[in-house]
Order: sequence, then structure tokens, then C-alpha cells
Amino acid sequence: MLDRRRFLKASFAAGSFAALTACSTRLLSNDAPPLTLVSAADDAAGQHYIGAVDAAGQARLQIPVPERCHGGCAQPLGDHVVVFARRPGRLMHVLNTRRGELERTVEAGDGYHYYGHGVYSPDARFLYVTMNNYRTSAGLVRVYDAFDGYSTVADYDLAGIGPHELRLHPDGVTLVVALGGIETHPDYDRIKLNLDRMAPALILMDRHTGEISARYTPSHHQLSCRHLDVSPDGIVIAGYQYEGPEWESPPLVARLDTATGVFSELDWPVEELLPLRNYTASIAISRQSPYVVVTAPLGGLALIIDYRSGKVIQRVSVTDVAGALPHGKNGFIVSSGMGGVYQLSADSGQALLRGTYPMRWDNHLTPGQYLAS
Amino acid sequence: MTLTLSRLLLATTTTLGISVAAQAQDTSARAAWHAQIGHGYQQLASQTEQFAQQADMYCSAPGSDDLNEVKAAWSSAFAAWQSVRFVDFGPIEQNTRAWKFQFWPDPKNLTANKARYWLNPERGEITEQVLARDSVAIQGFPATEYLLFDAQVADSEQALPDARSCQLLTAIAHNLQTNASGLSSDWQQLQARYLQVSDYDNGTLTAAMHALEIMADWRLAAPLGARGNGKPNPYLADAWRSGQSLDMIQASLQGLADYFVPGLNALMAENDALPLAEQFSAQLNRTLTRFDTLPADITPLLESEEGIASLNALLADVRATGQLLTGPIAAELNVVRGFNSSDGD
Repeated sequence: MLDRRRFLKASFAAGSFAALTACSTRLLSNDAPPLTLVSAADDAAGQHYIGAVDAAGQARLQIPVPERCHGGCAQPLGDHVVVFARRPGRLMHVLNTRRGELERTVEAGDGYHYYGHGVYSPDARFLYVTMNNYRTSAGLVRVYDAFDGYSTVADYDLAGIGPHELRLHPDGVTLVVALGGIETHPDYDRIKLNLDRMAPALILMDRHTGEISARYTPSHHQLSCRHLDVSPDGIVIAGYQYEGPEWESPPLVARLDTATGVFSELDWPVEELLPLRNYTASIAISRQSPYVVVTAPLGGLALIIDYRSGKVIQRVSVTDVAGALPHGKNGFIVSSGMGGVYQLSADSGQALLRGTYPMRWDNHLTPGQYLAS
Repeated sequence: MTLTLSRLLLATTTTLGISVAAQAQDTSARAAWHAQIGHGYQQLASQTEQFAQQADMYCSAPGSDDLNEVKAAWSSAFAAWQSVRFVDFGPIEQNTRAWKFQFWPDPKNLTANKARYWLNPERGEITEQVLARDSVAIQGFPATEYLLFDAQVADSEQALPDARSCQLLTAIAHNLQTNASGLSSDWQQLQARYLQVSDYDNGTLTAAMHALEIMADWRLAAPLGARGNGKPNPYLADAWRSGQSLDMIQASLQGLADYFVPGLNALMAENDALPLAEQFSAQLNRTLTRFDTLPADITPLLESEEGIASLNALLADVRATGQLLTGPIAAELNVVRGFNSSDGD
């Protein structure tokens, strides 16, 4: 639990983070903004790594890891990028991007595993990570203190099974958590243990207290709410993976306006939904324009959507597309498991190849701040 | 719609011969695949039904020879599963069904742990419904294999036809039957979509590629010791308890020959590349003939150099079969196997 002094400090830091974002915005709006990204990756032989690409487009870092990793998050104002083992992995890797090396590996601890996602507090001190107490199947958010060697500060119960990605609301206080609803146990590796009784949700949680302030429910119990992003004006876009029959075409993208509390699912025609094959990977919202990209690797498609209207602006074909980050004024960077890194723009239906690497880029991209050499 | 309905009736009411009639209406690769895989699922449903009936009969009035009949029915049903095991899309993906047929690999021996848990009389009544809500490790063929074949069980007081063991055996057998008949009818529901969506060509091809890779890497190379510490370990094979690990690999390869090859031939003919399909069939048949001189189980072969050599020869042939698909055939058909699209989260 945070005391008042610490709370004020955190709020102050949130202000300075906003200032930095504005500053980096100016840098990013150049014609050819630098690429700096971190991602889990496999090589052709199936060995697992954490890889990165620097501002010059060069592959950097190739840190071998014992378990396949998933998503990551960058420390605001700091040097760390954390990459998490994917479900039901039990390691998280703290990279120092300034030095370009693995700084420490943190274990989930007996009885716990990670889901592959986390987010820092705006002051860079606290890291919030989705986890599973696999003896009880209780989904939780663990709070780590990055300033104290990633010691555990608190566990917040999510009153549900299978949390996945979480992000911080622009208010600096509210964690937005996608609860996939899927039970996993390391004894059973990646088998989904409760597909007939899933209870997915989108949850708002106070990061200081762990108190849940709102809980929204997808329209079908097998719509696993997995990934999300939050816009600077507080719109949450969440991507689903449907665990029901592949011959059904339920909605796959949800929208929450945190200002009004209105939760809805984007009502697309079946022709729009069918090619996505009931599966979305990454969600990335632009910081400067009302666009969000949703990647769908099974369909080999990246959809750029106007998140205010819910309308699809571009349908871009990229084989095995998965990772995504906002980029420039109205664009995105996406990665492919075939090794390519592409630039997308809301103005174009074509992907622009920015580089090809001898790596199978895994599900998500994470910005890496000091990778520029 | 009329066409779909009539084809559905054909596929649900008849067996192998009729799938030829279905092809006469629609000669596409997917029509062949749908009919053949549908036939395989029907076989699985009828074999699991016979297994459940044998288990019921044996447990209601056990006689000295009857247990062997239950074991034989188990083997036939498990072989029927092996022959359709390559299908990794469609209704088999629903509700963890594949794992409910066969939880494997099982390095922690959860199958035995779960079975022992339920054999304890304090656990309450065993019903099909109760088991269906429990772990996948207690629901499938390996759990019944444990009850029927495990040497420790056979030597214990809980050896069949012990009442509690019988309750567990029949409940699992009926659960298998329920899952198999659900799978078979759901496969018919997929028909219209399967025939309509051309992407299922890729899905079916990559399913076969994946099955051959699992066969090479995990069902053969792992027990051979070619992975890990280099020491042979028969317990890494599937069906080691019943001593039929090689028979079951043969059943899987025969399943590819029966249910996958006809559609592949049609697809390659559509693409003017029939010689590649013929090459695949020839290699698959060459691999199958290896079993003529092999025992039912992998264990005795791991004890001699000659045995290991014969397993390595089989492994090489399985790999060669898979490589024809992943290499020239995939190139001919522009099949792309994605990293994120095959195993995301």
C-alpha cells in the first residue's frame, strides 16, 4: 500500500512523464523516425531469444532465454525494458537498454506463473505484472519495486482467472486489465483447462490500492479478452480471441470509453470478421491520431481502425503479422513471424518493409528507449 | 444448400465407399478431405462405442477371457484415434477435445496420479459427468490404458474387475464415446464452411506436416534419446503401458494414407503436380512397410544396437515423408507456415 507522500511523488512523476511524451512526440513526427524496438523471438532452429532493432534498423541484442517469451514493457524515463515469459512461463527478464544487456532475471516464485505482460508506473518505480497463482487459479496483478531490485510490494487479486495484458490509463492511476478467462497450470503446459466455463472481463483497477472500480463482460463467455491499449483521451480498445467454434464469427474488438463508462463491441459485418479467423494478437493505439491497429496473424491482416467511429480504415496484408507499436503521426510499426518489420500508415493499404531479420518475431513489440547507438 | 444437405446425409449415414460418391459430386481436394476425415471420425465414434460396451459387459459380469476383449476393444479404439490424430483444426479444437482423447506427453505421470486419486473410495461417486469436469489427464485413452494394462495396477487389489476400477473404466470409456460422437457430428457441421473457405487447404496440409514432425521428434526421436540426455527412454513413447507404441505410430501413418492422401492427390492434380503427390504416397508406403518387420512396441528395440538401428531407419523414413510435404509440396502450393499464426497467445 502506498502512503500519501509516495502517492504525491507518483503523481508528480506522472506529470513529468506527460511532458516527456510530448517531447518525444516532436521527435517522432520527423519524416523517418527512428526505430527502436524489443521483441521476443525464435530463430529458425526454435531457440528462444530476446531480440531488438536499433534506430539504424540493425538487429541488436540476441539474448538467449530458456522459455519462449511474449510481451514486454519499457520503463518510463528509465533504462529498463522487461520481457516476460509467455504463459505458463515463470521468468521475467529485465534488460538494460542503455548498456544493451540482460540486467536481471526475476522468478515468479513457487506456485506462480506469468502471462507475458506488464506495465510500469509513470514514475518508473513500480512494475505491475499479470500472474496466476496456479494452485488456486486466482488471477492477480503483482506489484514489483523496480527501485528495490524488483522486490515484491503487493499482490492484487483480480477476482477472476487468466489475466493477460494490462496498460496504464492516462490518469496515471488506473490499470486497465484484460482478463482472458483461461485457466493454465504448468503441469499441463499450455492446455486451456476451462474452455467450457470461462469468465473473461475487462477490469479497471486502482494501482495504489488494488481496488477494482469497474468490470465489463464480453458478449460471449468464450470471447477471451487478451490484449489492449489505451488512447491519450482514455479510450480502451481490447482484442479478443474466440475459443468457440471456428464456424462462428463473434465480435473481436471491444471499446471502452473510460470517461462515460460505455463498453461496446465493434459491430462489424461478418465479411470483415471472417478473414481474421477469430484471433487478434496485438493492439496499438496512435498517440497523435484517432487510429488503432489490430493485428490478426491467422488471417495475415493488420486492420487500421478509427477508434472513435469503429470504422475500418485500412486492411493491410502482412503474412504472420503480430507485434505492433504506434509510429509517427498516423502510422504503426508491425512485425511478422517471417522476420519482417513493416511500417503502416492510415493513408495506405500497403505495408512498407523497413527491414528483414533472420528471426521469428513473436507476438508483441516493445519500445526500447536507448537502443539507438 | 440442397447439395450440402444431401452430402451431409451421405456422409453421416454411410462409410468409406460412399465418400467416393461424395467425390463424384464434388471432386475438389477439400471435398475428399472432408469426406475421408469424416469417415475417420465415424470410425472413432463407433470404436469408442464398442469399447464402452465391452467395458460395461465385462464389469457387469466379469469372466476370465473378457478382460482381453476389453483390451482389444481399447486397442482398436485407440488406433482409430491415432488415424485421425493429425487433424488439428475444426471441432477437435473445441473444448480441449484433442487432449481429452489423449493427454500426452505426460512427463509427470499425471495420468497415473489422477487415476489413483479417483480410485480412492473416499473421492465419492464416479460418473461420466463428474470426470468430464475434471482434468484432461483422467478423461482419455491413457487413463483407461493405465487401468487395463499397467503392471502395478494388475498386481494390486484394485486390479480389474475391482468395483471401483470398473466404475472408473466405464465412466472414462463412456466419456470417450460421448466426445467421439460429438466430434463426428460437429465435423459434419463444419462441412459447408470447410468446402467454402480455401484457406482450409493450407490448414489441412499444415496439420499433416505438424503430425509428421510430432511423430519424428516426440514419438520416435525422444524415446530413442535423440533429444535430451541421449539415453533411450521407452516411457517417453506413447502407449508404452499397453506395449503398442509402434503399432500406434503405424495407425497414425495409415490414417494419413487413408484420410489425407486422397485429398492431397486431388489438390496436386488441380495444380498439375500429380508426380509430387505420387512421390509422397510412395514414401509414405515405404515407411509403412518398415512395420512389417518391427514389433508392436518400441521397448525391446531400445535394448540392442540392431533395434536402435531399425528405429533410426524408421525415423529417417518418417522425416523423409514429412520433408516431402514441407519442402517441394509446400513450395508448389505456396503453403506458408507462420510462427505466430501456428502458436500465438
